Amino acid sequence: MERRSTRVALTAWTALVVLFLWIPLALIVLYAFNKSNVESWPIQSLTTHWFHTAWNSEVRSALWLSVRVGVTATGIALVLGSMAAFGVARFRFFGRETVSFLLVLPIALPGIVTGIALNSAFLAGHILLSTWTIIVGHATFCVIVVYNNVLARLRRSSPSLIEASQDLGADGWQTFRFVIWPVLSTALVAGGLRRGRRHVLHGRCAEHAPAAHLRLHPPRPAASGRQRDRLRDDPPHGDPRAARAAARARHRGRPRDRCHRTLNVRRRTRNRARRRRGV
Amino acid sequence: VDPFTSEVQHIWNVDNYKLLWEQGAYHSIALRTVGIAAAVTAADAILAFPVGYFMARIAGGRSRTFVFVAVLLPLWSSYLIRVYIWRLILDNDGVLNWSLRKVGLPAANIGYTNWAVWLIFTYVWLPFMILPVYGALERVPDSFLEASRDLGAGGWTTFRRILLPLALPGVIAGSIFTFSLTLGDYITPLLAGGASSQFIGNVVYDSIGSQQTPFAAAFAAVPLAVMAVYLLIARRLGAFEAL
Repeated sequence: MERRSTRVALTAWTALVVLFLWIPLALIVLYAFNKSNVESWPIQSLTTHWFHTAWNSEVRSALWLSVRVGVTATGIALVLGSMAAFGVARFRFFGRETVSFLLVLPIALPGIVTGIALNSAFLAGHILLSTWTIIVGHATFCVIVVYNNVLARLRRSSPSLIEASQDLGADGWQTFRFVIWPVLSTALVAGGLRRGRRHVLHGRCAEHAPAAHLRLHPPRPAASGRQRDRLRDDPPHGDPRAARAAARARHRGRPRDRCHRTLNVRRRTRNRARRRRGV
Repeated sequence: VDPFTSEVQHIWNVDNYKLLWEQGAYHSIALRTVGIAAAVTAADAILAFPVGYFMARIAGGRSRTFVFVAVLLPLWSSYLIRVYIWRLILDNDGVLNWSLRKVGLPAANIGYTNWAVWLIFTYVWLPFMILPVYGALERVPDSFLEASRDLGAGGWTTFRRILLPLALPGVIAGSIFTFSLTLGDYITPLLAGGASSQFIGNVVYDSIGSQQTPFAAAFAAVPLAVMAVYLLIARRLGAFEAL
């Protein structure tokens, strides 16, 4: 629907940005084969010498430590982060907004500040710095990423799913296993993956939450329940034209979430049947 | 700080903040940090918006996945390595000057300057901007744009009155990352900046090294305050919904 020239321009722009992102990476690979120690360009001669040098026991133990820290911290963050997200998403309680804000705030804290703060905290508590303090430090930051991820997913999934499941006689565990888990699992994997590789490759945990909310597969149809709610509450910027467009979108976009619909339909038919029986 | 034992004495006062306020050098460092962070954010937003638009509305399934992976994968490589490679590129005998010379342009010579710092930050944080912008643009229903066209709006009007307001939370969400990450960074200015590109983070780091922890804490409060204000504004604009 965009004009052809616009499409071409946008494609070209995207291609340039991708090149901008990837040329330096290609150069890194090239430099790994550089024979000379001097940083100069163009590269005179190539060698695989550095790969032998890099694969020694010290490097391997460092790699192993990174993997261990990454896995442990990710595990801790997954549990704590999703619990926090559940609490904030499902219940209204005093200070809820504040809790939410405080959980998001550390995304914005400069890495060095958080690092020093953790350091002083450990020193003040007379805790010796060790692998465990690294793990705790990483987990602290990463809780936020998981929290964001899970919260975003929970917001987009309708609470009626859970109600329906309870109506159909599922207990808490079954609801979690068959309704909540399928909804959440991809968000958790996305968050966890991003956390994990960050530990392994990054060394610092300052740049957490890259795009916590992002999932690797295209998300659900645009007009999910939550989206419609938002449009209804908040027509874009009071512009009458946009508002009219929003109204149209509302009518068009019924929830396409299959699971949601089947559950609702089942509930409705059941209720109808009950009414007929005069219960 | 006790000069003999170098232990921190806990006396409450505002001397550290006063020192911060009175020294002109710290003013310019703080201003430089915030200024470059803002410039990085602007550059990233400009670079990212068309890419997000392409991914959300133009690309088919395949090419969308390709761009997605291409944007995400650089994040998997170490931050340090990416800064180092830029050092090599921007060096006087580096790739940039070499290629400029090849096509007959004058050498840029921006290695170890504030330009280098700006460019590297823009590069390193770009994916953090693209992904939220893409997320926001994708949630704009097609029917909005169709409606806008039906009502007679041109491409530019549609962009300005429909697309931009709806995508703004995504841009703000991305800018939280780019802005705050630049604000708190000290590695890039250290490695790739010149003598005149000290950041707040560098001063904090050096002060800790020279046992001036209280002063470091005072200076670290500056980016904290800036970010707190920024976040409050961002929340007003609905960026947290788009996170």
